[in-house]
Amino acid sequence: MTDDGGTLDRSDGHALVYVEKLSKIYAIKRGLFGRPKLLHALHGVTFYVRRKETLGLVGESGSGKSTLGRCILRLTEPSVGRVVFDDKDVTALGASELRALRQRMQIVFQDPYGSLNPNMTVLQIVGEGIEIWKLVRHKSELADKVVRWLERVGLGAEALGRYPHELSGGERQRVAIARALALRPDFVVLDEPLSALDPSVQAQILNLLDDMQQHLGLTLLFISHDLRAVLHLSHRVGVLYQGRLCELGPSEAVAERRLHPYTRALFGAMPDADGRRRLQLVLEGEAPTVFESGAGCAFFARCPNAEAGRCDRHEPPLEELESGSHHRVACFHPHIEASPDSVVER
Amino acid sequence: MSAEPLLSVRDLTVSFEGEDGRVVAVKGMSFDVPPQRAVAMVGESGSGKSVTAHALLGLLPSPPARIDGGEVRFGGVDLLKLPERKLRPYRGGKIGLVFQDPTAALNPVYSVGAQLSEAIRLHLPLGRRAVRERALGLLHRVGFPEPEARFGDYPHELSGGMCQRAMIAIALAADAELLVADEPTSALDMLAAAQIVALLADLRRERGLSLLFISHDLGLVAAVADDVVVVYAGEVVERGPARVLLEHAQHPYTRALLASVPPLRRERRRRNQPVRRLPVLAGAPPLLTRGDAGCRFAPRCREVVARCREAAPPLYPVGPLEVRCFLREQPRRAALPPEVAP
Repeated sequence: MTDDGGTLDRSDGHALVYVEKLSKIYAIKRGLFGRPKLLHALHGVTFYVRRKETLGLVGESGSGKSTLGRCILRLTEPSVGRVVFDDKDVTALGASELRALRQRMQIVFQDPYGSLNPNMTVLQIVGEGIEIWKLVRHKSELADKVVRWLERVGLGAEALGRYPHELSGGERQRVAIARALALRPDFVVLDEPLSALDPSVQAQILNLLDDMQQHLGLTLLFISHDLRAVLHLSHRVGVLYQGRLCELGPSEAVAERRLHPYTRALFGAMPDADGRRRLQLVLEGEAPTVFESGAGCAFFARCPNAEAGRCDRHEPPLEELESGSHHRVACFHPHIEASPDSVVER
Repeated sequence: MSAEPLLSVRDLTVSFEGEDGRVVAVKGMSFDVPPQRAVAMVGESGSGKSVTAHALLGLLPSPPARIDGGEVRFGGVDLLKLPERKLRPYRGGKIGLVFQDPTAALNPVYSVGAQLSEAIRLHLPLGRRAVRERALGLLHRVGFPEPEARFGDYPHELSGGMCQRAMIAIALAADAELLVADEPTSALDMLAAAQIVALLADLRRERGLSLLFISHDLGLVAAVADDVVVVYAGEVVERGPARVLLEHAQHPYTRALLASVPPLRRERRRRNQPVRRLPVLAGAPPLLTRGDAGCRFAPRCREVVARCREAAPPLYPVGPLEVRCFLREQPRRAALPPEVAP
């Protein structure tokens, strides 16, 4: 890809997925005769995911993170913008071409109860895609293949004949992961894969995803509201607020510097692992539902650093603070001086 | 600790009729909630923490549930002995309840204001106008900036966070002395969860409430609790003051739970924990069938010894903590730092 609209840099040469100025606009009907209002679920989102990289996306409910994952796979049609996967413009593909690409792009959902067919056994669930994509030569090899995938995700052959309701939440999520990985995809979207699970099971699944990413050379997009989990698993993270990327950079850099005031608010709401630090609630209330997209920064109304006359009139671009750092922030007044270590520890 | 606890649970045992016989979900559970203190109950799904909360107020469907023994004393009265009619002033009155999923706990066909007013009328002898005033005041207090304007809103018109605030207002309808919050933040995202926890902490201070906060999130527990009770497979395995317990956990299960939270690089440095991989608590909690010998955590325990499979350990005192583990029978000197050691 060379035509990057001037918004992406040279390091994108190894990118597997480009998302370019992606927007999703919903028309919300108000009453029977009311003029529909436009809800901007995503607003000009641009980023890339490198090959064999895990990119994390974090944000509140309603920030557009799930919509973004679905738009990239075209499970939801984006309104504006492009998604390029391995040099193919996914947004321009016809139904049959898109179908051919599906094997290479998979998704794991939040709720393994809802995403696994209750009437199918584990063998059928994991085997279905393998058969459809003819990844075995004879049907006799199918069960062996499924068992190998079950073993890779930490389940045994005894799970083959079980139905989803006979499995625990963690086991179901392992089945969902095996189903996705059995197709040998290059790219997997993980949409809140941990939220329905207990902390000890979350840790198991995080380790599993980490192993799979490394051993299979997967490219992952990990979507979650759990900042800790996202930082743990991801090489880079993006912070979404009201359908816009407000910060994007290497996980360590984002965690240490927290340039955007909203990123800082998210960290403030994240409890300390051992209770040494009190929660710092800088944000009261909730993100307002933004309809007609205004001119200024989406975070203006809740921002402690907001500058009237500038932040409410101009939308800050997502730019590197220091060129070459790959750490971008969309803010006219990012936190630069104060290091997060100055946060009061009790 | 103050002399007389507000809520005192002693030897509570609850079982359920299952397909393969009775399952003991809560076994000899004892803990106190002193006046104006916040006690957090922590454990995984199936540990019996929700069953305990429901059993306190006679909210378990029977059958299949059966309370096999124990006492639940609130202000000196054993709630388990009260008939349904006499339990009503406690349930939602002196004891307010907040549940995990507010969108399921609220009735979808009544407005938030109507449900709150109903709760007030049920417990307080107030006239129409006074009820409405009280309702508006409560909504304002829990974080509805314009209560008049939102009074007629239906649950589906509110976000999860706002629904949970409405639930808290309903729990406070009749000046509750104790608030039982059962996983009040698990259906919410991180910011909304932190806000709800902060609201509960504020309300507790300003109203002198006691709080029983049930959660699997140790981080949030740290933010809200004075005391922590860790439960595993229906039993208390460790309890004590929150600061000591979270920083110097003694039970292998508590330690495993704490270790399963992915640390930030800064936290790893502080703990001298260089490995990126999360230490994993393998396996699942046991099936709670009657008459298992030995420690219930033994099958998953990294420090298990032969004795753990033969006898069930009692709670041993370790400084200000109590720990259900044979390894803590004679607490090692190094286990707790000098300021908290016995």
